[in-house]
Amino acid sequence: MRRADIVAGLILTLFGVVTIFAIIPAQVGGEAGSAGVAPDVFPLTLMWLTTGLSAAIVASRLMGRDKPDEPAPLKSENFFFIIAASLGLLGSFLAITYLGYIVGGALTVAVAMYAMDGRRHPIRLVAVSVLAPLAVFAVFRYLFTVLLP
Amino acid sequence: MDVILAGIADAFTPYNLMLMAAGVFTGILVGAIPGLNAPMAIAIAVPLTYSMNSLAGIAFLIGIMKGGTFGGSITAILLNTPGSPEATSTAFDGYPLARQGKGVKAMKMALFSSVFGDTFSDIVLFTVAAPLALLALKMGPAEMTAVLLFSLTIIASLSGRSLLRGLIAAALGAFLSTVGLDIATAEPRLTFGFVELEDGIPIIPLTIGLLALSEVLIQIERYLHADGREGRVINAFAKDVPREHKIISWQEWKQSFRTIMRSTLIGTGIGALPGVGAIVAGFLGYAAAKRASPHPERFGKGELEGVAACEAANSAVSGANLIPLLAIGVPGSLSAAILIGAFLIHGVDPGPLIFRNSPELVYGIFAVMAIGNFFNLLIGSIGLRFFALLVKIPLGILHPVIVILCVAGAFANGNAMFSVGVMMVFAVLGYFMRKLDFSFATFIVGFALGENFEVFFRQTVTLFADRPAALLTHPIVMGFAALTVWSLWRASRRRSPAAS
Repeated sequence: MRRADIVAGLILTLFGVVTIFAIIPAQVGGEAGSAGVAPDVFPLTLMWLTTGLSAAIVASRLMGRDKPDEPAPLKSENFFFIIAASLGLLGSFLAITYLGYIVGGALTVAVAMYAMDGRRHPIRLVAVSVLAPLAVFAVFRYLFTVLLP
Repeated sequence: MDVILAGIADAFTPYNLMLMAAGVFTGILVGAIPGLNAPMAIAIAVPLTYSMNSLAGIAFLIGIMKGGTFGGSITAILLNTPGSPEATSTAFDGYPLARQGKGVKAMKMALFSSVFGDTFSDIVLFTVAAPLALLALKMGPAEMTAVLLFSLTIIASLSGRSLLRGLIAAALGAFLSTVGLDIATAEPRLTFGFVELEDGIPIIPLTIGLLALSEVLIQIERYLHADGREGRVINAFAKDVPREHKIISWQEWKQSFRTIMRSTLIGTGIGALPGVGAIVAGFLGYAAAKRASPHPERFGKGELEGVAACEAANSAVSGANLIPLLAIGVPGSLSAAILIGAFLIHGVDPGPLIFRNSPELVYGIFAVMAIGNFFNLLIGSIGLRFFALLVKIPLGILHPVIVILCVAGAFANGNAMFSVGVMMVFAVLGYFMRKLDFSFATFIVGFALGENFEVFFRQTVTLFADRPAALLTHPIVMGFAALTVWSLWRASRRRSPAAS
């Protein structure tokens, strides 16, 4: 975890510094008005706290000893997976937005099932990817009165 | 008294009873499916309660919470894979019992212990929450700021392996709660021009993303790395299993009762503390039973008392963890944090004022909790064979279907694809949080408490900015400040520098 902690701590520290000095001044007004406390006081307090704690993680890890038996929490294969999964989620979002829940949902289920073990069970893949979005759509529409896109 | 009776009468309407039963059924069902758990199901189900009245919606969600606690033990016993994290310790003796052909006996003991623990814990909730809320109503903004600060600190220090990461998660969660219109000046804050963000980041899609979808992503990844291999499921109802292995004898009841009682007390005490959840209670209950047993060597090899100890303890948490929620507005667990969203959807502000503003609802909730325990016992007993079959659903079907269920659940929050986008962003964030051991539960609690925390914080600053020394004359503030420092000191000493 040591290297991952240092990297995560550095990223969070950088995020905190950017938020404190660039994002909050641009996105939050600093005028207290008659309300007593300015709107940026609370977010700034929390972000200073986050930044300080993140820097403390980096410092404690740099000063601490590495444990060779501790496996790295994120390997390159994890990054490949989450990038692929994020692209899949984006594709699903776009498909549902433009094609609707039933078609977009069917595509989402089909792709996910194919990636998992659909190659071994093609009939199951087709059946589930067609029936599941239809069933969810119907349950939401008629039982919970929510009209999915 | 009239209010109490009216609340109880509300709970007994056929509609509410039906929803409570549906909730319990859903909870057991979800708990019995490997990889799914009650908080995930509650998060997805919250938007579905829009069209229900307050009591019906909350009854449905509480039903899921109650059913899910027992349901998680089914996979722990039959598959050695806990259906919910709190059932981890149930697998220690449950799975060896199933391997000996006593799976049904273990599941029955899990069910009865679970219902007993839950019922006792609910009784404590009914008797303690109102007096505590009366006390909380006497507290001013400075006192509430100190209470919330202490709650967040203790949740951060107990819910993960690292104090620093826990505190960062709590602070980041609270920071994100500041997105939206400022509570005093109504100026947009951190909205980046998105009109949808002016009401703040919606808590339900955030919760579904962090809790359900990110977990599904982790499990899909694990499944892919395991090349589709799943654990061996034991058929507890096989014809060759003798009858005495399917029932609990009077002798076994007598032997286990003391353990169930001890674990129930442990679980109730743990549940009343914010942040210390059912997982800890299960382990503590198990450890206490093993210490007290004349045959500690049998634990881990198929001891029925081991199953009783874990299940009574982890279920006793579920009622008690609503004590801090209803008394001071601080969720005692992840499920309780998600319930905050449900309360807010129905226009109810959870916290001490709920006893003054919506007393009928509170007593209705108490009544549905009691009814829920009965349904848990009834549905669990009747449907045991069916729920045991769910363990066999292939994950290759389950996870893709959950993804589109998450999409539907998020969309139902506001009928907009924006909510789906928010859910997906937090799913990816949740993936990294889980991998890097940043407690997503602490993050959600920080987010849920953030708005109230800011209100009390700003009121305190306004009141005491020019006379901060006056805070020294507030004993509750000083007491909770001291507790906060003490809990931080304890947590930092308990963990090795490498872990923090």
